[in-house]
Amino acid sequence: MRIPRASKRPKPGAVLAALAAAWALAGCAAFQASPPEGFAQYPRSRVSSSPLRASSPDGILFTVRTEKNDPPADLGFWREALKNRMGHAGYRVVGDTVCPMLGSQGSLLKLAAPMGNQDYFYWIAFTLSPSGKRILVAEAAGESKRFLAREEDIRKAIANSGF
Amino acid sequence: MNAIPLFFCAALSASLPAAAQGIQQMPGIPQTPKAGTSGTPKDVAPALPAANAQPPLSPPDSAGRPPGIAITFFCVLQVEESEKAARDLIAMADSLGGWFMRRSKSDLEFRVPSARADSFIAGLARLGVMMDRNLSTESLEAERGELTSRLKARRGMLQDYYAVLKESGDSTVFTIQNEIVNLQTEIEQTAGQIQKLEDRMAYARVTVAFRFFERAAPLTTAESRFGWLNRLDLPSLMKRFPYANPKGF
Repeated sequence: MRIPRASKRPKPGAVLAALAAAWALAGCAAFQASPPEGFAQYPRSRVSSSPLRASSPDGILFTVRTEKNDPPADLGFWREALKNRMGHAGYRVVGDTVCPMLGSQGSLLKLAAPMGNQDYFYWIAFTLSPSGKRILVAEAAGESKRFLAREEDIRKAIANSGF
Repeated sequence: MNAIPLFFCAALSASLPAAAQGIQQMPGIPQTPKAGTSGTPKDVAPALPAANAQPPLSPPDSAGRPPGIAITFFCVLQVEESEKAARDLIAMADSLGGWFMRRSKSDLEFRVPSARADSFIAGLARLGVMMDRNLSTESLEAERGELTSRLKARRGMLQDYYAVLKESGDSTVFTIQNEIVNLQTEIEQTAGQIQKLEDRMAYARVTVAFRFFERAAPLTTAESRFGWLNRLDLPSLMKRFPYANPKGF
């Protein structure tokens, strides 16, 4: 007796679609972001949720990525938790504000810290995905004077980042 | 007297007022040094400001010091931001009629009118924590008196030499001319010394060395109970930027 084959071999397109669906179900939502003006972007993988990294000619760094909202919490919770964590780690909180992030409300924590003999600014902006499962985190850092010269471009890039 | 010595004598006479009054005309020493303005590190303050750019000065200190005192002050000031402290110090020196002589990232050197030096020194404490200080004063009056007397004597001798030069013959004229040249050099040097002394008396020298508040780098070990927060710090951000060429480079 001939044993029937369980199924046909799946098409490559179907595999990709299934992987994308699985990726989306796992919560790895795609995000929109572009580097600040005057920054060069590092190569990014084809997966739309892969981190964006960019650097200015004078060494200011900008990156956007997503994290899992685990445990699930709202923006206010993470804002407080982040402020506490960075404060305990020795960063000086320069500012703690809200900011628009692609139509949604985001939180922006401005930090300062010495790095060697230089003073660095370190900004962390984040917002929640519409489903609330992911957090988009945008970070920018660099030597304070050079950072301030590009502050407006960084602020615009943060505003244009989101889900 | 032949033609050459006469010409030489005329040249000497033309330069005599400048030499004899060298106190007012010594090169390289500002006559009214004021108003150093803010600048970048390693800037040197301008020697002569615009005459009409004088800000109103505060009244002189009532320290009760006798005249002819040179003041030198050194302190170590602990500050949080050296750039801001330097700007404030320069503004304070400007407001008191002083200026900065030398500026680097770690220290600043000022000249402040001696009459207002105490105000300036008192103002330093408002800009940071004074870790160390050393105030020294030195009376220069006696030295100036001695130099002034020497200058007066040399000028008298110079006049005598000119008188002798008119009467001298060919055999002695060169000797007298040499003496006159030597005397003029000596007068200029003495006048320069007097001017330096008077400059030291008129303007206190204040050196401020900066020391920074403890600059502890952030801890990467400060753990949070929330995993993603632990991935937020400067060192780990930098590690995410490999030494690869980004697009556009």
